This record gives sequence, structure tokens and C-alpha cells, in this order.
Amino acid sequence: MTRPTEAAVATEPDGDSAIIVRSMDDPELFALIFRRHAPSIQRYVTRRLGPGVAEDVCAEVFLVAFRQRHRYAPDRGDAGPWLFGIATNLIGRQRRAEVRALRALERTGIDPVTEGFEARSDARLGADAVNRRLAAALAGLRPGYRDALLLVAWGDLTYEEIAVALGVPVGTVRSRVNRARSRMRAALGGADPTSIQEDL
Amino acid sequence: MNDMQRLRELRGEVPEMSGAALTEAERSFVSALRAEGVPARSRRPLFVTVAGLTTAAAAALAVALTLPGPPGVQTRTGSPSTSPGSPAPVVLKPVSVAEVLDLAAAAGDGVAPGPGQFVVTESVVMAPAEFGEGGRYLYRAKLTNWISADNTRPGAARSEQLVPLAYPGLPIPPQAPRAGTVDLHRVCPVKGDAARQDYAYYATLPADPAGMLAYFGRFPGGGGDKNFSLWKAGGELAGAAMPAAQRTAVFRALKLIPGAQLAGDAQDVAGRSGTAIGYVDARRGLRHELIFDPVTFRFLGSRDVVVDAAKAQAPAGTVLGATAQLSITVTAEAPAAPLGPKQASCE
Repeated sequence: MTRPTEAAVATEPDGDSAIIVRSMDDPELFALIFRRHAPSIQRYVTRRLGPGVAEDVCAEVFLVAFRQRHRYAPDRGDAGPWLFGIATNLIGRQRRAEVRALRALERTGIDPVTEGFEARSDARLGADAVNRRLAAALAGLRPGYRDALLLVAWGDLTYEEIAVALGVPVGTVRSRVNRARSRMRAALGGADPTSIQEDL
Repeated sequence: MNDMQRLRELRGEVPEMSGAALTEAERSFVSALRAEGVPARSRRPLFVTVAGLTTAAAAALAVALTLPGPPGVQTRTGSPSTSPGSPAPVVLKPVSVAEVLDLAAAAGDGVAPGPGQFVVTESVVMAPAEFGEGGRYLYRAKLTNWISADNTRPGAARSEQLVPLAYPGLPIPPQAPRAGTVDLHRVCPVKGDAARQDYAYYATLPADPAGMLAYFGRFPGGGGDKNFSLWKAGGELAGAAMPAAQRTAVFRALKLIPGAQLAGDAQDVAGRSGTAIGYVDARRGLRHELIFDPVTFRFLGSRDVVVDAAKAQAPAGTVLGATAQLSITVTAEAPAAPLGPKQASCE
């Protein structure tokens, strides 16, 4: 029986690391890394900073990665965590703008980040109130905690991947996410969002 | 619903970048890459290749070789030319068969004909033909087909002979059709699903890769390498007009066939540059290649390239057969065409 099955794929694409290594000699191969990862990186940056700056930040993520590609460890495989780490650093430069938008959502119920996008058809009743509370809690988090939490929630990264992205031990990621989540739960549990102090 | 689920929904309406926006972003990114400049190590080998010349001559030659073109711009043979000041089109260099097929699966939308309409395909074909012993030559024609999108109305097929080419080592036989000869005949709706090749029928095919691969297996032919037969069937469907879900499944099903190779840069029979992937038909000594646009990864056509001169009876590298898809459009009517010599009627 020579009929191939799903398991018999013999033509899987090269991993990111192989492409990055080859891009040392053939720089334009790095465009493949862009094609593979730009959709998720751009979405993540857009959710954090809004579409206005996301395009530029996303482009910068890949240019920074391109310039640093000689430092990429070939045994890493998936370049996603590395790219999310660079994105996190660049997002950090816009921290005040990020918090300002979250505070605006908290105050008005209107999210400056998503204004231009079509609302989801499955949007939950009462989601507005929840979102205002979440925004308040997010705005009140320390940057490192917000980064770890949102890499889980919006970046779909595992704790191990976040450790790679942020360059901190996995234990640190775990404790940051746990503490940030308890803030979220408190905010959703009915506490007045404005009472959350910015000390976490 | 817990806190994490609610947080995942926050700003969840932001979409992933895709389609034209992604292509445009890539274009900008590649322009920025080029502006970064080519690292010094990419230029160094030029000095190695001119070893043996005097140092001064080698240096002068190397300078001459590195001067043309703006710094950092790498051109590829056959890639579209660019005017100064405008960014060159993004030409991705896929690194595997799967990568090419993924890009093809994601490439643009096709036509969407309504009931009673016709799908019009224009293509160029080249294939070996033979008039007895030693009468082998390469037949070339431009084909236009009007196929009823739902197999309900008679369509038409037009072929216009192009200048025939010699089969390597043989003269063109005098009986070969003369360029400019046109044939137009009616195409009747097909009875029985097995022979249907219309849009409405293709819309009923499985949209999952495994199901589509099973459909490839129902194509006639085979006997030898089953995977080659599957590859060839998939290649025929790659150029057919069908809904996006089925077309995507065709490319994803091709991905499941082991043994395909990345063939790299290729020119189709219409002279367009592309990126090719192929599967070797060991029995005939040919590699059956599927060619894709290097920028959009739209399917351009196919070609058969000699890889085993003895089996193919032609030098390695010779192209012995090819198709190039020029256009696929939709129209309300097909031209009135007479029945062919062996056709009875469409009833």
C-alpha cells in the first residue's frame, strides 16, 4: 500500500531555525519568518497598542529580529517566543499610551483600540461591564506582570515560552501570571475597579 | 467562565493580518530588509571565484561585479524588472515543497460562477505527438474552453495550433499541424459524475485534505508509482475552477504525497517565471512539475522535465510537455459551435 496517510507527510517545511541560519547567507529568506509569524505578532501588538502604531511596531519587531538573527540559537525551533519577546520590549516603549487606552476603556466603556473593528457577533451580553473592569485591572498591573499575563491570554504562549520571550525563569513567569490573575479575579468579583492600587 | 477566558475575549475582535494586507506588509518588510544592506560575507565569494587573476585585476573585476544595482538588492533570474525608486516585488524563496503548497493554498480567490454561466479557461499546452516511427514532434496549441458551470448547457472548445517544436534529435514531420489552424467544436454536458469537470461538481468534492487525496486516487492511470499518479491528478485539479475550500484542499492534499521535490526557479510554457515543485516519474524519466507565481503563489501551470535522458530519449533538462494557464473568467454565454466530427448531438 503506497497510498500516503496524514501521518506520512514527508514534505514538512523547514523549521524557523533552519531558515534563520540560511538567512545569514541569503537575507531575503528572512521574509519567510515574517510571513509565518507576522499575522500573530501583528494581532498581539494591535490588541495591546491599537492599530495606529501596531503596523510600525510589528515591522520593527521583524527588523530587530533580522539584525539579531546571528544570536538566534539554532536548537530553538519555533521563532515565535523570540519574536514575542522582541515585541514585548517594543510595546514597553509605548507603556503610557497603552495604559491611557485601558483607562479610557475603563472610564467610558469605549475601547480606543478596537473602535475600528467589527464587533464579534458572539459578543456576550454584559461584556462591556466586564471589559471595563478587566481594563482597569490590566492598567493597574506592573508592566512585567501585564506582559506575562497577556502573553498567556493573547499570545497563546506556554509558561516555558514566556520564560524564553522575557528572559526570566519559568518560576518567575508562573508567579507573575498567578498574581496578575488574582488581580483579574478580584476585579471581576465585584470590587470597585477604581480602588485597585498600582502596587502589584 | 473564568477570568482567563474573559481576558482572552477582550479585544478578541482584532483579526489576524491576512490576504492583501499581509502581502503589502511583506512587501514593505522586504524593502526594509534590502535597505539594511547585504552583509559583507555575501560579497566575499566574488574574490574567491576570480582567484588566479592578478590581485589588481581580481579587485577590479570584483568591483565591476558588485557595482550594478543598488546596494543590497538581490535580483533573481526572471524576476519581474523594477523601475528605479519603486520597491522590487516581494519574491519569496520557499525552502520546501510544503511551504510552496501552503502559500498556494492561501493564494487569492478564484472565480465564482452562477448557475447557467460558463467558466472560460485560456491556456497554452505543449505535448509530444507522433506520426509513426521517427515522426515524433512537440505539438503546441492555445486552448480556450467554455464549460457550463453546472453541467447544464452545451459549451465550446477552441484550439489554435501554435508553431510545433522539434523533438530533440528529430525533424518536425511534414504532417504536423500548421500554426494558425483553428478548431472550434461544441462540448456537451457530461453524463455521469465520473467524467464531470465543472465548477458545480467540484463544489461537491471533499474540502479536507485526506478526502481530496482519496478523490485524486479515483483518477484513471497508475499501474506504476501510485504516488506519481496522485501527484499528476492533483496537478490537473490545481488549475481547475472550483470553490476556495476545494482548491485549498487540493494543495493540502498534494502536501500529503511523499517524495515531491522543490525544483526551484522555472519558466512556464508561456514564458512566465515561477517557483516549481515536482515529482519524478521514474518509468518515463521525467519530473512532473507544478509551477507557481513567485510573488502570489497562484498556480501558473505544469511541465515535464527530463531527468533521465535514457528513459526519456531526450537530454536531461529538456521540457517535453507543459501547460500554462493564462486566464480563468466567467461569462453568461458560450460561442455557438458546431458538433465535432465524431459527435452525435448533445441530447
